[in-house]
Amino acid sequence: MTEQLFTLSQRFSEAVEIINTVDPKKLVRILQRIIHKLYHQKGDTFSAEEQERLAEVLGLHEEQLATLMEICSFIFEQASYVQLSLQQLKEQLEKAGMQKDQNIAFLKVWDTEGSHLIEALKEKSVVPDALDSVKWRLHLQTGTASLARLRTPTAIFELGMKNSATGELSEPIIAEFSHEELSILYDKLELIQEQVDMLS
Amino acid sequence: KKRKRKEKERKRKLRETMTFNAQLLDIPFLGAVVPREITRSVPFLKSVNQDDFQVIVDFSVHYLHGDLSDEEYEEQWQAKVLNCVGLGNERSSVLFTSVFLILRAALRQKILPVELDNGLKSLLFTQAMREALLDAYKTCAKEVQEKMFSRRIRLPTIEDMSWRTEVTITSSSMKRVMKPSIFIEMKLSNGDVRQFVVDPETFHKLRYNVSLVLRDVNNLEKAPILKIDK
Repeated sequence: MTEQLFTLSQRFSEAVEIINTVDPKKLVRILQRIIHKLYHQKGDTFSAEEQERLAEVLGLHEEQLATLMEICSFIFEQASYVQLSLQQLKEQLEKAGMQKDQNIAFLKVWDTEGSHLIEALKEKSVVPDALDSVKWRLHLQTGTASLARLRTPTAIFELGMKNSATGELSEPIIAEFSHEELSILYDKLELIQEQVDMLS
Repeated sequence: KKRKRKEKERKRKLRETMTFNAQLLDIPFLGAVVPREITRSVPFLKSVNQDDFQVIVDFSVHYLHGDLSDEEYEEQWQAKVLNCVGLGNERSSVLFTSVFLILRAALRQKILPVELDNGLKSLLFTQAMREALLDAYKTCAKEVQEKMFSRRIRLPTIEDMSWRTEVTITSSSMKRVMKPSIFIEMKLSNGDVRQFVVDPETFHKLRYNVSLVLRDVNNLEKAPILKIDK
């Protein structure tokens, strides 16, 4: 990929200048936090307190820190959007004017966390719930208030649901099936599988 | 001779009242002790006209089906029974309760007609009455039992399931995704509509578990664990 990925807007160039002043070791830790936030989608990268202290330590104004964090996040987002390899990321950052040490910091983090981020983003869906787990119990109903001497098999399924954006568990689906209902479900699932097989 | 006949009458009546001692009754399908609601009807059974009895039996079967609301049954009780039989309010109610409870217990336990007949004999129902009740029992058994079965308590079941298989080509986070997924919508019997996605791997898990359960169910039905339904 030889074309420029990062448009060198003023804001971007300013951010790169700021990045270039940051100690690489500290930069690695900041980048790790940023990429984790992208991965988990929840909460803030740094709390307000942490941001204050960080700005102090790096010798930056709070706005400068905000710009830095925003652009670092943007870099990772773009990198995952087109699935950059390490070499490609290196080249792109060089083109953007990043110095060698800071570039290496980015590469370090991208090397360890990059593929996880890409996988997570692939899984992300705009539909709220995703099926997470399948649990079941098989019962033999032997009687009710109005009818004795039964021998009816009953299966109870709990389909665990996970919110595909945050990863939190949402309310599971709990449903009961008689023998016949199970057969119907099974036939439908087989049909779906056939259609999925056709996709690959 | 007259005195002898009177003696005979008196002894017969005594025997009759003595043979009916509710505590000595042993009718298994009615429980350890026959409910008072049933034994209350015994004393006046003799004076019940067979046509009236048939009306009561027919209404009991009607009530056992349980298709109407309570108010509708009240109305029909008035129209079909009280206005037709010559028993009076209280005796009609007592007799109906007795017949209804007997039939309900018999249907619940799916007893054989001969067992019902023996029970009815102990309760001093006349032959005509027994025949009417047995006939009603045999005719309505299958339908009423099926209705009771279909009305049993259940957790929500899946009434309808529709789905879509799709491949996500691109998203706002990633230019090239190419990930297949299955989008399912389930309508449950309690009105809930749940939509969710499944990735192919988890879908395999779902399929696998469903086939596991189905296999167990088939085994259960072939080789009964509990011999309870005969």
